Amino acid sequence: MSFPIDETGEGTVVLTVGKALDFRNAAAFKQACQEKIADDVRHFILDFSDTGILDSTGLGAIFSVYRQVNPSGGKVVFASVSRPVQVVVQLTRTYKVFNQYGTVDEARQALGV
Amino acid sequence: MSPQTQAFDDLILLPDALRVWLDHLANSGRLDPEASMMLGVALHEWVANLAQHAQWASSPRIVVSVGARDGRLHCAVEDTSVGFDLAAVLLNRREGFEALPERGMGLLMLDAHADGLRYEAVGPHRHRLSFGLRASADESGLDLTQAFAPL
Repeated sequence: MSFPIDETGEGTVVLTVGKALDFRNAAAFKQACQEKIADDVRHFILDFSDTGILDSTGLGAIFSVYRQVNPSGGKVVFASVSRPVQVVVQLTRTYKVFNQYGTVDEARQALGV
Repeated sequence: MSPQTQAFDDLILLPDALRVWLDHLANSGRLDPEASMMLGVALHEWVANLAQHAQWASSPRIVVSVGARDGRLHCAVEDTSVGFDLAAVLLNRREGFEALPERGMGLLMLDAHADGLRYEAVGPHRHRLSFGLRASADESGLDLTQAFAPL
């Protein structure tokens, strides 16, 4: 399962999460992000507009990406968060770590790209 | 709400099939849409745990039942696995907790959604998870960021 990635420049990409990020595709998500990190990408905008499922394994994969980019000032932000994703974010309090934006464009503006 | 029951046999397709079933219950008016979504989040963590870690005595089969009792939604999931000590695993997870964990959060997330979570044998190679659903995720307290400081 692939994740469409849009390079916006300035070391930033928009990754479309799609219908689900869970135990079935979390490894593929990490791999896709790590390939971008190897290409000097530091900021990830995760587009959750069509996402019906985000489970603990998917969230753990996002944590993994964050741990890799944060030491060098990188950011991971959420855009267009669907209601199921919001439930998970609220439950785990991860809104404290990952800023959320209503749209991908708002996230881009916030990151200055 | 009268009890609703559905059986599932394919562990890989199970998360999607479960969501379709819950959406159907919501769309047909038998289940509140918000409750359907929250139940889906909780149940997904359980079925994901079964799909990844359960040992099966026979062909995997899961039967999910949803009903209302005392004004609260209740859920039961019967499986044909050999079972495990859920209470011990939850205790271990809580004691080994660290901020922003990559693994091991699923059962804690389920526990945060649930009242009266129990997993017990109900027959030879049959186990049942049962719980009441909390009214909202905000009622629960699972902070994966506690004691977290940006690296």
